[in-house]
Parts: sequence; structure tokens; C-alpha cells
Amino acid sequence: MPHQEDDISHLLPLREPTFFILLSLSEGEKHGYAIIKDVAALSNGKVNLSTGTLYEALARLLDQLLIERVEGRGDAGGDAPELEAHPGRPRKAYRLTPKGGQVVQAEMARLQSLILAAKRRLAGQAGS
Amino acid sequence: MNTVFIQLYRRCLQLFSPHFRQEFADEMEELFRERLMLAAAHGRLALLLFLVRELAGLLAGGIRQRVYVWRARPLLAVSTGGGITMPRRGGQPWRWAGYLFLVLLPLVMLLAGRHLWYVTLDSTYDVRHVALGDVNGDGRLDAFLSVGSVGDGYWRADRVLWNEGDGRFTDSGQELGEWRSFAAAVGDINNDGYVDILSGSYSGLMVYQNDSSGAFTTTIYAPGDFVHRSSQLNVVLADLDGDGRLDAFTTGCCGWIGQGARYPAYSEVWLNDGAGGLRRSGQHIGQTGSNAVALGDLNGDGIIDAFLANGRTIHDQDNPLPAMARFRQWWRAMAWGLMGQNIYTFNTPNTVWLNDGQGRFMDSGQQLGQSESMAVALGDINDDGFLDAVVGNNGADEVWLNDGQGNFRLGQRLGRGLTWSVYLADLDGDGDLDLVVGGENNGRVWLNDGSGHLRRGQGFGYGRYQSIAVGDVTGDGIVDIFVAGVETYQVWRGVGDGRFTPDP
Repeated sequence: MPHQEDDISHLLPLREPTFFILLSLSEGEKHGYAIIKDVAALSNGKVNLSTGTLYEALARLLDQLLIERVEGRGDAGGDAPELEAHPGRPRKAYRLTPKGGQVVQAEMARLQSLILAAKRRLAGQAGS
Repeated sequence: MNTVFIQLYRRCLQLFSPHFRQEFADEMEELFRERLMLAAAHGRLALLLFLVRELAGLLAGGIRQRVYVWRARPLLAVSTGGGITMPRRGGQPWRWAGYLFLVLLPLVMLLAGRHLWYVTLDSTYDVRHVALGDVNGDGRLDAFLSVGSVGDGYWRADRVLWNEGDGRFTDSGQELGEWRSFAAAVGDINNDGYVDILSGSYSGLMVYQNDSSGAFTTTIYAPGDFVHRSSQLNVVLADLDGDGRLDAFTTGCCGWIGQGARYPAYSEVWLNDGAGGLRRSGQHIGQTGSNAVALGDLNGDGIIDAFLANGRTIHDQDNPLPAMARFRQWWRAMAWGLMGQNIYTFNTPNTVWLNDGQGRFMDSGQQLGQSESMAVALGDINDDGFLDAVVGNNGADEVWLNDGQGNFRLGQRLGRGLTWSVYLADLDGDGDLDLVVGGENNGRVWLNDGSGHLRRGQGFGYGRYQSIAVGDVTGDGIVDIFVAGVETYQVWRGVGDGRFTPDP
């Protein structure tokens, strides 16, 4: 059930795991395990995704056309070399779409505006 | 041990929608498997924390995924050649129609459920069955009353009424049975020349042996067996194995589910051991639920076969109904406070079972009708020489016509409402079989025009907790209708032309 590409306002704000997943994929395509590791690193270990949470988010992001699936790539392991040696089926990787990139940018802008508003208010209080 | 965790993980994946599982389950399991091995390598505590986080994540993810799918899907999908994708948000008419539909649907089903459950939940009957027979050998038809539950909630004993002649009955004073009876049949079970009585009840299968004076000694078969399985709802006597002695055919409806166990209903044959006793043949006939049986040679081989009138069969979560029917059952269960018991009922078609001559019955494979059937009688209605069947239903009654090979086709449909008993007899003296139908608090006569077509005849009323039987109780050679209650009885005298007049 894809939705219109030009309308991203209804996708915001993003939940924290979703934001980190998109942020992780902004670096390049990754498979599931690499995303989990990267999100943990990006959040300083505060967001540890379970497989259920990860794939629920991935399914939703695929549906919203924010990411796309890349079949059969084995070089998307990020910093998880211990899993790359594992034999078996080629891993499915995910990468950000242009719309996904826009959403990340929009979310960052939203967060920045929040921070900016907070800074202004706090700066004003300090000045008075 | 890892295999156990992986199995558990697979089970938890059921929380997600089928489409999701098709897309991601393999990938998720593969990743889980790898992370499981890594966690196990870090010790038991790490493994435990990992498992807790994974299972919690599956639960939360599964719920979120289902909610997402539900929210994104139009409530009423309109399918055309190319398909129409409904917009997600806004005040689209179809969406509001969907909300309205979902609000109204439970209301309609509640009303339908109340109507449909009325019979099942409020089917208490003082006298469940009346069997007529000359019990004390005076040449008059006496009456044996199978007494079920009564309006005041207490159980009462079965009764024997002596026919004093001219349709006047007196109570024999005997109290037979222990607990809620359903049906009885009369016949000489022990071959001593006197009429005995076979009774199906909660207490078990009861044989009341007649001492020749009409006083009875009781033998109970399968005591307590009945409570869970309702396996003797209808009892009929006939020589089923060709040894010249009366055997018994008992039917069961509708099964029972409780205390963690399932008790399917089935019918049984009890063979006469020649010494006045009955023994189970061991065959379980049908796995549905039969409210009644009628015995007769249905395929012309000279051996007595069985026509089973099937009612509602009780199932639990293995319910094979289509999804919509399951929802209806679920809704009824919710409306009547039966939720959590996972009990569903559904109508089962009537069946024909052919006897091999040894008392073993084989299913003919016919599935006749879809009604909740309560009673059945056999007789040659269309005068073609073959036994036809009249089935009394919760709904329109049905005539099933026999082609002589034991194959039945639907004939006439009669009336509507709940039928508890059906009797075939020549009521108007024209030589063909007419029909008497007994309902919950009234009955009706249907007269045969000679070609097998039944036309509506006289109706007659009686108390709600009474039951009827048909026979010449007045001794004038004309069939009468006997209506019995626990405290009273009434005779509708046959005039001889298909009409009946009630005794005061």
C-alpha cells in the first residue's frame, strides 16, 4: 500500500528506532545484523533493536517507500565481519530511497528546530 | 537447547500477519539464530537477557505491525477489474460505511444469536418422550413417560400410566429412573413374553424388565457414561443382527467439551445377549450428533438400516467452519457468556447407515439437509413400496423420498418452527400414511393426498412442557394423539377422518 512520494509530513515525527535505522542506512546499504550493530553504536548502546522491532520497522519503511530491498548482496555487513564468513544464502540488504533521505533530513530539521527553540528560551532566561 | 528457543521464536512469529511472515520470517529466524549463538557464547546471563529482549520485541513488533496493517487497510475494499486502493485518511464515504457496518453487525448478530440459541438454551421439557405399549398385558396401550428436567429445576422419575380403557389413564405409582431421561422404547427385551422398557437417560442406558404384572426391575448399562457424551438421547429397539432378539440402537447428541477433555457424540448398537442383557457392539456410528434415529430396511435387502437425524455438533477450536460462520458462533458465545470455553455448534446433515446383517453399520455417504434435525420417522409416504423419511427440524420439516436403494432425495418441506417429534400413521382411514408433528407447545396433522403430497390439517395445542405420542389409546380402532405431562395428560380422540377432538 504505497503512498504518495511527495507527502512526507504525515510520516513525522519518527520514533527513535525508526530514526536510527534510517540514519544507519543513510551511510549505505546494510543487512539486518549490520543495522542492529550500527544503531547500537549510533545511540551509544541505548537502542538495542530486537529482530522483531527491527523487521517490523523495516516492513513499515518498505511500505512507505522510505527504504528499498537489495537482493543477494554479501558485502553489506558494515562492521560485522564475524557474520560475513557465515556460509548460506546471500543476505538481503536494505538501502535508503531518495524519499527516505528526505524524511531523515526533515526529521533532523524538526529536531534542530526543537533544539533551537529550547536554546533561545534558555538563552533568554540566562540573559534576564 | 537452541532448538527449543528457535521453536519458541517461530511460534512467536505467528504474532505477525501472514503476509509479513512470508516476507520476513526466514530472514528474521536466520538473524535470530546467529545472534542466539553469539549471546550463548557470552554466558547464560547474556543469553537470558537476549531471549527476554527478543521475545518482548516480537510481542511489541507483532502488535505494531498488525495495527499498522489494520490502519492502512480500507474497511470496505471495493474490487473491480483493476482494483481500487482506498485512501487511508479523510472522510471517505466507504470508510464511514465501514464503521457503520462494524457497529451494526454485532447488533444484528446479537439478535440473530438470541433467536438461534433460544432452542438450545431453553429446551427444558418435562416429558421428553412418550412410549406407548401394552405393558401390563390387558390389551390396551399404556404409556411410559420419559421425564426430563422440569420447570422448577428439579429432576423427577419416569412414570408409567395404566390405560384403564376408553382413553382414561391412572398412575401406576412406580417411579423409575434416577436422573433426566430423554427417550424410551418398549419391547420384549428378555424374550419372556412381556413388554420391557428401554430408557435413555443421564443415569445411563436403563432396562426396566417387566415381571409380567407391569412391575419393573431396573438394570443400568454404562452408568455415568452419558453425562459427558449424551450418547443415549434416542433409543430404538429392533433385531439388528438377525438372531430374533431385540437389540438397541442409541443415538448421541451433541458431544461435550469440558474439564480439559473432548467427548464426541456418536451412536451405538447394543446387541441382545440372549439372556435378557445388552452388550455394546463396540461400533461408534458417526462422529456428529444424532438427536434421533429411525430403523427400517432402506435398501431392500431385508435387513434393518438406520436413518440418523443429526442436530448440532459441538466442536472446540478445531472448528472446521468457514471464517464467517466461526465469527457468528463466536459472537453467540460472547452474547451468552460462553466465551473462553471455545465451544461452537453447527448443524450436521442427516445420514443413512446400512446394516451388514450382523449389526454393523456402514455410512452410505449421503449428506441429507443442513437443518438442526430433532426427530425422524420412516414410512412409505408416496406408496412406491420403499420407506421414505420425515425429518422434524428446528425450522421447516422435510420429507426425504427413497429410490429403493437407500438413496434419498428431498421432497416436500413442511411448516416451520421447532419440531420435537414426528409420527406416521393412517389418520383418515384412506390407506396411506399421514403425519403428526409435535412441536414445543403445539402440534399439527398433515394429511396425505394419496400421491405422497402432505397437506396441512388440524392443529392442536398443549402445554409447553408436554410431549405427544400417536396410537389407539381409546381402543376404538382409530388412531388418537396422546399428550403427556408430568402431572397431567390429555387424549385427542381420532374421529377417523383426520380430525381429532380433545377429551376434557
